[in-house]
Amino acid sequence: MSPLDFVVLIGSMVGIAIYGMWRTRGRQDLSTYLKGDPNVKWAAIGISVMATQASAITFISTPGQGYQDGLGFVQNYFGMPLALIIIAAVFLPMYRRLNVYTAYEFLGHRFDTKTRLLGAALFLLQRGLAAGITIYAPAIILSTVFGWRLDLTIVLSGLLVIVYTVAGGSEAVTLTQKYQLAVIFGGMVTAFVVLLMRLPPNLSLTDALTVAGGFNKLHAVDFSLDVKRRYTFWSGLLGGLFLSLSYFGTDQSQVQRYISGASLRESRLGLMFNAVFKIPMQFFILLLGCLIFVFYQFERPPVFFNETAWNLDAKHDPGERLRSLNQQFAAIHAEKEQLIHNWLDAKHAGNHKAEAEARAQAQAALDRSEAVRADVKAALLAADPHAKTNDSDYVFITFVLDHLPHGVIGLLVAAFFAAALSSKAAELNALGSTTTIDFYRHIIKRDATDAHYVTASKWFTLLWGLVALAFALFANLVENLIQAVNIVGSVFYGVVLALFLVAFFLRWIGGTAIFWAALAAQLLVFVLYFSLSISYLWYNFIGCAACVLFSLLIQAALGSTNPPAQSLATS
Amino acid sequence: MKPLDDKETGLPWFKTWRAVYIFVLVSFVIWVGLLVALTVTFS
Repeated sequence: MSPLDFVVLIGSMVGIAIYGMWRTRGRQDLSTYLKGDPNVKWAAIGISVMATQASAITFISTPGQGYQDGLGFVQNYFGMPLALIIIAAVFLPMYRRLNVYTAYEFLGHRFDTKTRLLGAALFLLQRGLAAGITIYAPAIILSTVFGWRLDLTIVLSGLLVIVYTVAGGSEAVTLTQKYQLAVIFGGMVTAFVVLLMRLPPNLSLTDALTVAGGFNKLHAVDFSLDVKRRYTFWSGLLGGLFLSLSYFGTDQSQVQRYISGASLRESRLGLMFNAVFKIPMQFFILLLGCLIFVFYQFERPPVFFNETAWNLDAKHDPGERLRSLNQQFAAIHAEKEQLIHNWLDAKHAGNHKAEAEARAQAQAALDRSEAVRADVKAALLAADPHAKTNDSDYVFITFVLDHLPHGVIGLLVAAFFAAALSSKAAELNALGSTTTIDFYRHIIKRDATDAHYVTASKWFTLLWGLVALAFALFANLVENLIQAVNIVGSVFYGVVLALFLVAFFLRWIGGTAIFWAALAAQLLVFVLYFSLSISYLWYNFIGCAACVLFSLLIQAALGSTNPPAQSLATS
Repeated sequence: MKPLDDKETGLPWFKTWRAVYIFVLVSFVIWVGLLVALTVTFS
């Protein structure tokens, strides 16, 4: 990175944080600190919900997904529009009517204290883990690529977000997210435009899509019923529905973003904004990855995208195996590039037979180059058994560094950090709020002043920030990062969602039945996760269905309905 | 200006929440249709 890139990066990140702290200085009102500005409008709510979900992983890792596997990942979001409608119509009015600070307070109203604490504890457990990943994920990639120290990158970016989240609370989070999302979109749109300009001059967009489609990168929708396939229309619609219902409806990091709206109308419109725009946003990020794939068909890519790891291992390459594989890869790439030109020439000439032949030959060449990449990964593992061989998270950052102009590089890295800070801030804010409201105020100190709870919330937010930092410093991930976050979520979300669905729709189920049903269902999900090899999205459905079923059985065994601790109708 | 009731959407073309939800579902169906068309056209 050049000095200009650093000016753009540090100026935008620190500037937004300082602005957020300055605008929210001196807030001592608990409601404003935990829920945010009570006059916030739908656009700010919509942006805040979007910025909370879209972490740095979304912008670093998703183009790599597009490059590696194509558009199929977009199906993951198919359940989201319906989920947001259900939340806007059912969950949101109830949260606002009860005037709760956290979603788990609602469980206390509907069931009892132990169920409220179970819901809050499951949230703290899974979100605490995910918070470590959200801070670790961009740090490991950026520190590897730039040669920065990993611990310093984690600590500095972590401390920045902790400082302004602790100082300004929910209002500062919403305020800074607006500007952070502007940086993110500015960076991604710039990358998209520059990528299109860098494609070969005689390659039209249709040709680019033909090449991407010819290599199966544009297979966006798969109606297969095979449950072992990770992303299909059905797993996305059903599993995605349950994942989204749980994440947006019951995860405090999201609930906190929209319950603060000036009215029910503003909160609803904020959610509907996401229901309409989330799928197109994910599509364009994945398409960016597909077009980077096309770009690298005409520009030789590195044989292994984590070039720092490659260079380190190449130095200790005794038999020069890596160098030999690199040469093979280069030769196959040159041959493949020529075959793709032949394929496109035949297509333009309308010669379908020659087009099909050249396309098949190009596919065979791609298979050979992927085989060489597999050999490279095996060689890297032989040289270093701890080497991370999944390099798809490094695809986009490699493209950015190698092919974007200075200044734009700084903007893109700022976009990654902006995304990391915006989602991290919302998570910390939610972790601090839940600990304060559901545990500290409910169990330890009931009748203190607002100022006391604001101070307590600041300490808990700081504590969770430090826990996330510690987790990030010791994290060691094996899978693609965006999947890791979704897997952690899917293991817990189904059961948490069931707590809320039973609360809303099965009014005769009492606190004792749902409490034990939730524990049993969570145990079942853990056992199945470690014994089956189905798509992780199904665990959202399984956990939820098991919890609902168990609660019905236990309630039937108990015989009588436990009345809700407080009637919702009269609240 | 009179503040909007929560039952009103305040949107020019969608006066009820049901209309807003239908619009969201229709836009989802259109997106899936476009993605299927992309899949079929370039596979």
